[in-house]
Amino acid sequence: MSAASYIRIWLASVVAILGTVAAFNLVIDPYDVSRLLELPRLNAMKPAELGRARLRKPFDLWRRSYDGVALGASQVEHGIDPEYPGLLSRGITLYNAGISEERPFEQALLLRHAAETTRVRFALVALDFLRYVGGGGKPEFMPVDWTRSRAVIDYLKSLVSVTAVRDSIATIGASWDGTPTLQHLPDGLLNIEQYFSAVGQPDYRSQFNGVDATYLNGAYKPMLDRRAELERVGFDHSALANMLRTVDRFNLELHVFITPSHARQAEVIRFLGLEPLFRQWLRELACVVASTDSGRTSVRLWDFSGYNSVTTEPIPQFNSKDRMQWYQDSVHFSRRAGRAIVDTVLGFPPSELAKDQTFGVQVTPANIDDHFERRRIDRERYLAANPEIEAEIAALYQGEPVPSGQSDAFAGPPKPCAATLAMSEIKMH
Amino acid sequence: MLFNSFDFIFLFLPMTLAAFAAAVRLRSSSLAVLVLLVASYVFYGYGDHFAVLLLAGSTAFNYLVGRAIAGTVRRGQGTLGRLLLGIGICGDLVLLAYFKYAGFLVMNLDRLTGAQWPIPVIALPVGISFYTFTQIAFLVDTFRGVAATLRATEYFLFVAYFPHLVAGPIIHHAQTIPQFQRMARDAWDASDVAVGLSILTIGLFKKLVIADSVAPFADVAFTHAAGGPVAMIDGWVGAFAYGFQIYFDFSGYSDMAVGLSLLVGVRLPLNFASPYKATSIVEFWTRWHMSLSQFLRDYLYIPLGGNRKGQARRYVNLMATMLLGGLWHGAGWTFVIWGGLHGLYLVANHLLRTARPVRLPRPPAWMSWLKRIAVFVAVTIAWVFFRADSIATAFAMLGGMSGIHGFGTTDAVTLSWLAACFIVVWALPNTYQIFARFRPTLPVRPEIAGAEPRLLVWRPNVVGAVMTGVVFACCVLTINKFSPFLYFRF
Repeated sequence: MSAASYIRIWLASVVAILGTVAAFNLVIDPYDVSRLLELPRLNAMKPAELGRARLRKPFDLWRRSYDGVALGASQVEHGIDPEYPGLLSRGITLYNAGISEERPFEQALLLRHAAETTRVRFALVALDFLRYVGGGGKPEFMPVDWTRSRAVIDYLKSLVSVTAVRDSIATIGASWDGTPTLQHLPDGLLNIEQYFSAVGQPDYRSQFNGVDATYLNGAYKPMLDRRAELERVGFDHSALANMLRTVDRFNLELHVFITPSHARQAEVIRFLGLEPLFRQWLRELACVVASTDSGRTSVRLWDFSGYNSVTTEPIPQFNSKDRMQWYQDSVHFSRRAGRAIVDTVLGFPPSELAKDQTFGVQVTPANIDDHFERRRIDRERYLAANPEIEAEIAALYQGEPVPSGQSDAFAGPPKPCAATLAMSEIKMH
Repeated sequence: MLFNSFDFIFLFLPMTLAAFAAAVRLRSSSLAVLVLLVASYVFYGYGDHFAVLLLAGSTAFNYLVGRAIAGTVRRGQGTLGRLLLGIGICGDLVLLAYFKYAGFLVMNLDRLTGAQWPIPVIALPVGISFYTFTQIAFLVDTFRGVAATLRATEYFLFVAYFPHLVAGPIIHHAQTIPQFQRMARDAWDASDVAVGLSILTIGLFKKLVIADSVAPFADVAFTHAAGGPVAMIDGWVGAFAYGFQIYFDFSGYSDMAVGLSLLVGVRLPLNFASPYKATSIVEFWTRWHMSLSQFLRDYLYIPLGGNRKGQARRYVNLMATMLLGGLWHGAGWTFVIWGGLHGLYLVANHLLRTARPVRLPRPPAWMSWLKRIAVFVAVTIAWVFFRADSIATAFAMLGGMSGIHGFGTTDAVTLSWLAACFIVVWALPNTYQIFARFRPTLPVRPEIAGAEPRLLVWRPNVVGAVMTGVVFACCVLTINKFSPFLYFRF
């Protein structure tokens, strides 16, 4: 056999194997990207899709045009419902680009991508106190230099990988058996409520305790480690600044909102001594948003957290059959709460919640002190009605004893906006 | 850029080969050299532009110093030549010292003096140890009058040639540059390409399938050792797993370098020849990282006096060479101890030979196996220092391996992998032997090359082409994570 024939056969073998594998993965589509064929018994259930949302969601934004995009971590992924009739009846299309643990720099990348590809008019950006600190680093995060061409290359690479073959086989298995699977719907919402309908709603009290214990005993550690530094030099707002630049460039409406975690989460923050830092963060956000809002009113900051009619919803006792209206657990709000958020920020007449002055407050540097004062009064009222909360939080905590009785007042005089912005400018460059 | 990456396999390599083919068609060696030079810089600079500037600067410096030395040799100005050689070597070593050893030096000065100088965090440019040694050898040989005067493009390609640049082999100008000069004068040899593709496939398989599969067993053991006691079985499993990881990682890289170079018709020196089959430590070092061993012998051990100044001095020279060899691998005391251990092994090996002057004409097979196992265990113990992130971790591993923390257990999967590795390294022929009749590397000494195996001899046939093609494709399917070669960090 000649060497030339050997090379030809070698090449043909390589191409045949890689081509076959790519075609198989393209058709089965375990990450819900190609959507070439929908075969109910073969690829309706895609268990691997959940972990590859960062690969899939940019393609969704590419695929069709949306009026708006919702960005945020798992709270948005679970709770902002693009199928909300309030949106559909107005002919507004929304894509839920929420991704578990989505970081602000990823939000900035996705917002720019959405603005460039689908011509969105508005964006709902959920900011999360916990996720605001700590950038990338995990291999599953989007790279900071993410581009659309890179996304395409990453997808092509995923097609010729043994991991995708395994995931395709798992897809076929789950689809064949009809196994209920957590995965994103075509508009980006996670099907968690349908999933719980199929497998059974977990016990609320256990869910709340589990999440609160995680946040108390580990999740806030990076922030606790950096508390002194954050108090001294402030937060890094470069990702938010990037989003604001995109807003300016594409003339978008931007609604930044603090997610309505349950009041118990506010107590977790307070228990860990992070309440002053939370206030500093909110104050800085108000300054950054206000600073870029000169001459227009298209950027707003909303605070849904604290002690309002939604966040103070009573938690059923263990093994209770009662269902919560607004929550899945202490940080993940329900689709119903998501609808109330959409109503509030987009200025729709409230359909999910009677007009409630305490749920969703637009925050500016001018009203932030009043906002904090009202939050303090609301908390007192909440604790008076639920005196057991503080003890419950303390019982979940497993770390070193923390000093109790911290003041509601900020430790020092709040930094004026000019100082915050000057510091942000330094960090952004 | 990694050999085991999509960018390399699907973009860089096809484009480079296409451009090289065009140069061959034009029968232009200069163009072929230029194509490979540009490709090598693209390969090296992918994602690290500063490193390219450093490489170019270092190469230009050595080229100019080399030319100046060659001039002094021609004019018989020995003193000036020696001065220039000193300047050249110092320049190279200062560069290497700054990028590789500055942090280590400051850290140790801090410890010794109690000072608190900030420890500089300097990113190590990939391959700097390799291209520095390559160029020092060139300067020394130019001074000795045994290196030819080169065109700039040839010299730059000699240093940056992408198959060897980042992890060796350390190539010698006398072996490589004549091949560059002949490139493209003859037709492109298809059998070189066929052999090159097959060796490349074997290298990919060793790295992606074997080395990356046993790596987690080692990682688990060394992570445990860093945090607490390790049981005996866990310790030995971790140590063996690392011994196999580095073996298949480096062997895989070396195969890929040889295969890639063959694709453009250039033969590299053999760098790896079944080192775990060695029956003595001396033999181990003639089979492991052969080009480094030769460099250390020719440019360090022999200039120190080698074995010409008595036995005691010989042992001192051996220890010095191996300690520096250890330090070459990394700026850390664990590497120094690793080098020192191998130095001691070599001294012990020579002492044993001296003490037992009578040799059996045909030692029985069991004795060879006993020696092979002893060498393997000694090398494995030394690897513990090489792999551990601190001396404390290394001693924790060794303590665990001694059994002071209990016996421990392991699972069938781990044992199967280790057993498979033992079979491959001890019972199967190496890549060179499989392809020996096609001379895939520069000539090899017969005692290293070994006999051609009766089975597993590569022949260009349909079954072989399909099998290697399928294996190559399967390897590509596993490239879904960043997995650099271990020797990239040296």
